[in-house]
Amino acid sequence: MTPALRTRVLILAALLAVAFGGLTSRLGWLMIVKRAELAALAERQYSRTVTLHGARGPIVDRHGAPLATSTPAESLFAQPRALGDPVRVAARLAPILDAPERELHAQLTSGKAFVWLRRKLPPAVVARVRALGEPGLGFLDEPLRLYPNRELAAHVLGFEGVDGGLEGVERAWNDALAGTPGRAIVGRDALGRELASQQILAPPAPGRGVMLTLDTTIQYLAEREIDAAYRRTQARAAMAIAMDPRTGDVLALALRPTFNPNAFLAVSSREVWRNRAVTDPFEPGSTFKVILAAAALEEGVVRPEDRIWAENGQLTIAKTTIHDWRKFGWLSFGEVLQNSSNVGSMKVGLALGRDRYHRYMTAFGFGAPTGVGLPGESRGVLRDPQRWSPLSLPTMSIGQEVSVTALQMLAAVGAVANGGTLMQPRLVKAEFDADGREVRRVEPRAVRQVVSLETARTLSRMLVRVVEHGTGHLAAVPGYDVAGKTGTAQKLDPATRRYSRAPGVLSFVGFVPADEPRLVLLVLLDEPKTEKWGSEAAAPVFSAIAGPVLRYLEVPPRDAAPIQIVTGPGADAAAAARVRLVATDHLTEAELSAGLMPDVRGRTLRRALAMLAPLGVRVELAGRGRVAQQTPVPGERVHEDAVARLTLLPGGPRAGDAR
Amino acid sequence: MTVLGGIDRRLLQNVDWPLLGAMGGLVILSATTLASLHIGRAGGNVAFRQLAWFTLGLFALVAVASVDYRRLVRLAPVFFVMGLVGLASVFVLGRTVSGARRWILLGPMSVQPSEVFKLCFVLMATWVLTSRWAQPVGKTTLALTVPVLVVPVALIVKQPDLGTALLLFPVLTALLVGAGIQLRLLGGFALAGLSALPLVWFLAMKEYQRERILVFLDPFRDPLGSAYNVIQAKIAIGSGQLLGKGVAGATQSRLAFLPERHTDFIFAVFAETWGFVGCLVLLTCYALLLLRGFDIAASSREPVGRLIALGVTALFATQVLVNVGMVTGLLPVVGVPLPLMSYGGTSMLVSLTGLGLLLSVRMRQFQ
Repeated sequence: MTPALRTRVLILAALLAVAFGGLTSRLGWLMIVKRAELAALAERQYSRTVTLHGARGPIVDRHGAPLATSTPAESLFAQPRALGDPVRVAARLAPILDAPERELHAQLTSGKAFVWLRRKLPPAVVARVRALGEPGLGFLDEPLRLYPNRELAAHVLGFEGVDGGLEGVERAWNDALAGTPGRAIVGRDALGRELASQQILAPPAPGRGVMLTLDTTIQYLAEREIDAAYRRTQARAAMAIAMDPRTGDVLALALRPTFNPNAFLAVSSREVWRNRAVTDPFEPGSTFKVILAAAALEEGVVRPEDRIWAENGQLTIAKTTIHDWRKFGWLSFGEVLQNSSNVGSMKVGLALGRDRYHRYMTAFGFGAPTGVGLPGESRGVLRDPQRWSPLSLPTMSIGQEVSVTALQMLAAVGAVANGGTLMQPRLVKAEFDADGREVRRVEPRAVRQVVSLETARTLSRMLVRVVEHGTGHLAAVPGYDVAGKTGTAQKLDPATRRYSRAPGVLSFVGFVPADEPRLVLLVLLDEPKTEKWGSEAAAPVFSAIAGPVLRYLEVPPRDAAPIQIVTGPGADAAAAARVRLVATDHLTEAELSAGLMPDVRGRTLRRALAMLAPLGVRVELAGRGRVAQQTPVPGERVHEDAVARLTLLPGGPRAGDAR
Repeated sequence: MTVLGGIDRRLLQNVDWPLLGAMGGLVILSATTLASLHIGRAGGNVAFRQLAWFTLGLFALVAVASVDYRRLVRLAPVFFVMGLVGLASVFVLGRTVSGARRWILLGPMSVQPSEVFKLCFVLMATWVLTSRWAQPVGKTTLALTVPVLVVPVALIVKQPDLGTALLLFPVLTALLVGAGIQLRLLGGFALAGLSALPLVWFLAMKEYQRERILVFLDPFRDPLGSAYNVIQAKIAIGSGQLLGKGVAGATQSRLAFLPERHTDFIFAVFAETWGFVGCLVLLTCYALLLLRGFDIAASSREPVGRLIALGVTALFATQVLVNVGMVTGLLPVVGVPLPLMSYGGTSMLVSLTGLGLLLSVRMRQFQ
């Protein structure tokens, strides 16, 4: 080999060395000089911040019974780019998800990096999908909202959508229920697949629980009866609302038609979701005569026994003739209410005058939302007196030309029941944290004294006679004095702009027992096909609900023996059972305030636990059925950290049952 | 009789152990890098397959080394024609992967004829340059090499496999330099080639190839499309920093951000995992291997051995430079594997056969 050629080889080697030097400096540039910049780019690529939702708080009734709870569930997503064969995956998923194969296939081939296939699947379905072992499918935790009582109180509870509450309490108290979302960094790869490693930046705070004033039992009774009436009368809609007049606590709110919040999309129309009791004002008709009467009595315009000429059922005002439903002659004011005479009422209204009447209507809460807190509450329609026509005062006296919500009407009659004090309807009693500690309490709120106690008592007695002798006789509850008023309102026919003769809104609103009311209840049937008058349709529903509710609330009937304090078994005979149940409740309150052990023998477990709950004791249970034995014995002083042992027996002795 | 039995004891004394050491080191780095890509994931047998190919390649290496390279060069026209047939067969039997027909199936294996052809080309070029028609080295020599270059380049570009086709130019240049051609003539030849580039750009290149060149000039022209590989590779390399992220921390590579991470872009994985220091080790292995190659060429006492060694070394060197240059963003993306590192059976066999040729020359340098 010539030296020249040898040199040439060495020159080539030297060129290579130079090239390697170039590569090395390039690597040094990237890996040492630019490292921070490129490392930051890498960090940004493989990690992503995701929102973690806290557990949604439960909704419970006034005794703590669950109305809405959350259960673990997972949402299924697909990453179409990572899928094997979309056709096969769609075919295998379709039977498990109970979804059309074509729809799934369309989602899987949509070309997106990420698609939700199904949200909030129950564990059994999740397990079956996981068992497929298909790549490109994944799950994220998304708790499922469950409404264990299905349709019960659906309109109050509302429901939860993907991004929080959409209706009812779920929507109105969403901030409390939802909790505070947290954040986590999740590793991901180039296909967007999330990796197991998570770094939690801020843990989510669970939502607060909400305790409603509803009573599941009363709600159930209201639902049962309103459902029966809705079917029987083929009404367009029906509702029943129960309230404790002393506190304004809404005990039940049942609407028909209804829906199952577990499957809220399975409705014929979204109208069904609307809580008509607060969103839809209606012309109350004759029930509004209660308001007129309260105002007239308070202002001394008329006394119950004053006699009024009812014009033989026909009165012409401002060239308009208004007919009564019967040709009444002379009636006392009490009889005007009893017979629901329109002419008599209009004369009282004219005597009261528009400004005074308007003032009372406003004071009773009409024309303003009640503030119950449910979404979409209407204020109703109550026009300014300046804008009334000459006919307005008389027609308003019989509940026309004014629109009210069912809840407004109930609250107003509740004020009469409550000695003249209007209570703000209360739906939420308290909010509590994840450990069950109360964090916010909503106290009952008295809005104002609308009429005097005297007037309220007088009016109550008049309303009792409406039920005893008048149009409301079908609302009577044996053993109790019911005060109430029927209502029949024609609807304005939008075509003719006249009151239609077809059945409109039939209602009954009343309270019981009249002298010491525990329950004010409104029943309303919208356009029932088989009934025409409120007295024949709504009043019996009132009776059917109020009877069992009074027994459930352990309200002593009119003819009950005087209240005795009975501290233990051995009180004799038939009457004793009823006496004891009344006495026990009183005793319970007294005992509780003194930290004394109540007598829970004969109680159901649920009731016993509810009674013991305020004491804060730990409860140990044995057996099932009703409580047969208890330690500590009734009346013993217990401390917060004490343990109560209850022995239960099926078919054990009963308490809390009047017969 | 074993293969080794046929080798003279004297030949064995001249085995180039540093060369084999560098080769062994690179294969170990390759296997660990491939294995790291699959920790915690299914399908982690790529590293084992790579080692299996390596074992098979060792047999090829020993077999080639035990044969006198001059006998192989005498058969060069046969290999060359077979190589051309292999290239042409791709159009008939070829399997399309990522839009290119580069593979043919031989039983259970898929073979990449353009890889195999690289060695056929080195042998054929050596044969032509050392043939009596080429003497004395001059214009005639150049003219003789033109068909040897143009015919295969046309076939390879057609597949399309631009990277392999481009490799042949520097290899031939190195061989011409080694053969003693006048540099003035070579310069004129190169100028002629450069003036043909616009024609190549508009007539021979596919749209995606043009796009790759444009992306090379401006990587953020299309960050999620053509430039994706380049940007991701840069991010991976840069985030490796001085000492690397280690096997578990190499997120860009392991999390599939980096495309072609087993094959053409394995250097980026390596860089992210082992850092700048690791890269220096890797490049040192290549430098050692290549310098031994040049040493073999310089030590050879006759032109055939010199040119064979030079050709194989130039082939290796070009592949390393082009691959690392492409992964680090210095050169456009042209799909050239990193010899001994990138996963691929054909590439491994061809690399080891090439090393076998080097050894064959080395062992016979005193004959």
